[in-house]
Amino acid sequence: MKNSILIFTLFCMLSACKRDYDKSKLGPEVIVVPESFTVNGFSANPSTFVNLSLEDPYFTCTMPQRAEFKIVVTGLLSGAQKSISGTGDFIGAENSTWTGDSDNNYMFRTGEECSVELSFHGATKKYYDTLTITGENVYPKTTLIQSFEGITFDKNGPNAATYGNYFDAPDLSKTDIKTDKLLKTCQGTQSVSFDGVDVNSGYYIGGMYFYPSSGYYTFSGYEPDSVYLNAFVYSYGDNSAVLNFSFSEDDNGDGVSNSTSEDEWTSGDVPVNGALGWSIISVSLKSFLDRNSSIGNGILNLNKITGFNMNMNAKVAGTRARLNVDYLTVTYGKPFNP
Amino acid sequence: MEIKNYTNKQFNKVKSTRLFILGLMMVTGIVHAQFNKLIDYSGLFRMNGTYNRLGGEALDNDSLSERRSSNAYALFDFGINVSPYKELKVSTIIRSRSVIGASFSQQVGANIMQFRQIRIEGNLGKVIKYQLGDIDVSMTKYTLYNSNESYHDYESDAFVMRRNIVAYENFNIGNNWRMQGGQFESNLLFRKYLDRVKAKALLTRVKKSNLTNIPDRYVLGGSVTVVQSKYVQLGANYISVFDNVGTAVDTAYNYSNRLLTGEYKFTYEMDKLLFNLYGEMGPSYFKYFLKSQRKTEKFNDYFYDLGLSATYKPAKLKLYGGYRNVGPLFSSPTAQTLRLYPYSTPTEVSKIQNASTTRQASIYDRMTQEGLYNQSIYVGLMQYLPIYGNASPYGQATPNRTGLTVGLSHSDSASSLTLDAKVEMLSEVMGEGTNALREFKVYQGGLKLDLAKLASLKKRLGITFGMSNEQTTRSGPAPIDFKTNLIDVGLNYEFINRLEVLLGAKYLQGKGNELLAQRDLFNNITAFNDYIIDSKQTILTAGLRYRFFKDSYVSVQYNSFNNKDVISSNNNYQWSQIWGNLTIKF
Repeated sequence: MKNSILIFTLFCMLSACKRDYDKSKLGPEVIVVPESFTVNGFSANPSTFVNLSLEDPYFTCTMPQRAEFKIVVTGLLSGAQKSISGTGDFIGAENSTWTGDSDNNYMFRTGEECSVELSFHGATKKYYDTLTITGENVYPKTTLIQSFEGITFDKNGPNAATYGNYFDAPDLSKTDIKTDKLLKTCQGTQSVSFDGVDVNSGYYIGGMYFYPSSGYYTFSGYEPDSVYLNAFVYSYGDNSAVLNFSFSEDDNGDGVSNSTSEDEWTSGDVPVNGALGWSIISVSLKSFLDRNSSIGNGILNLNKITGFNMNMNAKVAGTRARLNVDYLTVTYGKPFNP
Repeated sequence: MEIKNYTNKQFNKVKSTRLFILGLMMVTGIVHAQFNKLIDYSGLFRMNGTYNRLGGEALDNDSLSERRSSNAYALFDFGINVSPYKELKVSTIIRSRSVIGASFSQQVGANIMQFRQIRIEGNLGKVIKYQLGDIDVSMTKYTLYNSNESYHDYESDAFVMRRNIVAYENFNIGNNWRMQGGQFESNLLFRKYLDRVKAKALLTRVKKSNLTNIPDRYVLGGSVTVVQSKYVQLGANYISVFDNVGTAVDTAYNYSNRLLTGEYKFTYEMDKLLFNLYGEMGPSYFKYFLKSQRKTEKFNDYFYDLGLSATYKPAKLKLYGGYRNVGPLFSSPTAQTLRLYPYSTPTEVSKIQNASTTRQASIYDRMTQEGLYNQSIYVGLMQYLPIYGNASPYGQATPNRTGLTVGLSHSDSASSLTLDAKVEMLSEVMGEGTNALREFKVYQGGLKLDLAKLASLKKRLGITFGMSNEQTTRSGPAPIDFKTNLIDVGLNYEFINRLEVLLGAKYLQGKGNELLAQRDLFNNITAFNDYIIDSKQTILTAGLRYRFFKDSYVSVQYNSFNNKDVISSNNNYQWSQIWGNLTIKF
């Protein structure tokens, strides 16, 4: 009998226990509207022409009841896609503003027409509009190193120092580095293509330099672990290549970097996603290693970087390697996310 | 079936491994000859083959999908048990496997010779029993438990045979998890005040560090049960899954989950009646640090499960009832991990619709294909398919459930009848995506009738029948109405000495709409995906089995599986399979 009373008391105590949750439901709000649900006046605002570097468009629509909506913007040239989801009694600037970014590895282009599709959870009827991009998005906390737009690289031709030039390769006759318009790019219409054979089984095939338009690249104000070097990389599905990056410093401030007396920092081999298509690689500058610790001041000076170097290496010695690179950036606080 | 081509280096490695294992077998043979009593052997030989034909609307105007296929393999698991001392046993199981029909160069990949199990066990001072190496571990349904993948308690023997092979291949021995580590057990008897104290402790590693950013992950657990008498029993259980961050240079995450439960069981006995009052309850503590997001998520929750049963002893009839409440944030990865990957690709005739679509694993795939199963502990709740169980997809420890269970069972080895019937009336504790709560009604049960025993026949004759009906409903802004029906029928008849005919049928229907929660790394729900189905799956099986001796048999079956999808006829297909199997166990 005593046991029964004890257990009954325990049961009552447990039943009375309240869980201390800071929410009334699990997950985001979900509403499934009936199939007959219809809306009016779906449109892009403030106009169907938008310069993403200057303004953030939004969408409007009046609804007969609270509903869960999804707007999908698709670039008809680039293939870039942005999805905006929300729940509300209406669609307006409060719940549908688009900052110009994209969800996949393609970026919306200047002059591109986009389709806009609106759907509601539970209803099969969809609503459509169009939007024309008159200016590309500018990403906050991002320094563009090279977009490869509007320039021409040719391994036999002269190259503007401000854009970079070709690094020597073991055998230039078997190495090709050039701007490429054939491939569908992640940004704009051009990327740079690397294609070569590691003729001396030393892994290295070829590379490029990038210089600031004047003086130094200055990434000061941030710690090295919050500064990232980013690049879009296209793999041909053969998983044949890796990239490595390095940068040089002007430790003594004489305006020139000298590899025999000043620091050079290298990322080592950065693995590339071997699956067919574009992906993003991001490397924290903190992970760069001093190429020769016996020279230079051994301190990573983010305000004295005179230039970057990007190399492609074969993944397997003595083999052919190829990939494309586009939209080389430095970001602050977090890796680049288009 | 995948056949790998090996490089010279890999080939040499495989060859070295095989030579080593063969050498070991020779040495044990010599030792066995010298010390016959110290060594004993066990083994399992299996030859397994299937011939498949796929047809139906899913292959209309289709020139690319595989319509016919055959697969076969033979394997031998050779167990060596060495007992150099009375209190110590060292055992290993060596597996050699061969794909039938593959050339020698292909066989290198397929003919895998490997250690399937290595274990040391024994007694320390006759007080502590220990096991080290590959061990099978379980505790309670809320702490460490490998739940069944779906309800299949009363299947035909034809299906049980297939399921047993899958279970053997995936180390699904009962409801144990196969892990690597050590466990220690002790059973202390007392003369006064207490009857006995049972204690258990275990430590296993469930994830291996890559030395750079992924740390080792361990499971640490233990239980103490005090049996005061046959009337009073109290227990406590502890289980923890945690990362050892020091094992990686720059750890990407740091996870820990702790669970502490208390158990009780009180018994009251009368002449013809036996009453049991039992239960388990306790809190869980979840913590996860993710470096890339510089974020730590913590949440605590608890559960309680209280039960009462009354057994009428003369008829071995038990009436039981219980009430459970499992919190929405209750976390117990070692009890909530699914033993099967619901979305994995079937290994037989896997493509349909011009080879453009992967066929979703059906109830027949789940019952017969070894490759769909999971042997790892997942710290997040895995995605599940509601058609195979929506009320308790993660077993008894399914979070966010509360309600009553009432059941009746009769089980007696001497009797010709085993039966079970259970009703569950459950609901969510907290709504998902809305304040409205889902309600679950579950009706399950079945019977197994041994007609040979009933009619005093010398040859085997038995029938099985099982059913499960689940209904999920929710009103409000996101209504849900989802139903499933499962029916199992089976017959086995030994018409010639040791030769049986086996018949089996299984029918699964799912209809309605559900919303499947998508979760992030912290187990938080981030979105809901629509799950709308109207489908019927049917298996019809006829076969023969000849039993040489216990657990050794040869069997041939013809199976016809039909998938009917009312919403999308592109998924309609018929799959015929002839299955042959020879199993010898000693």
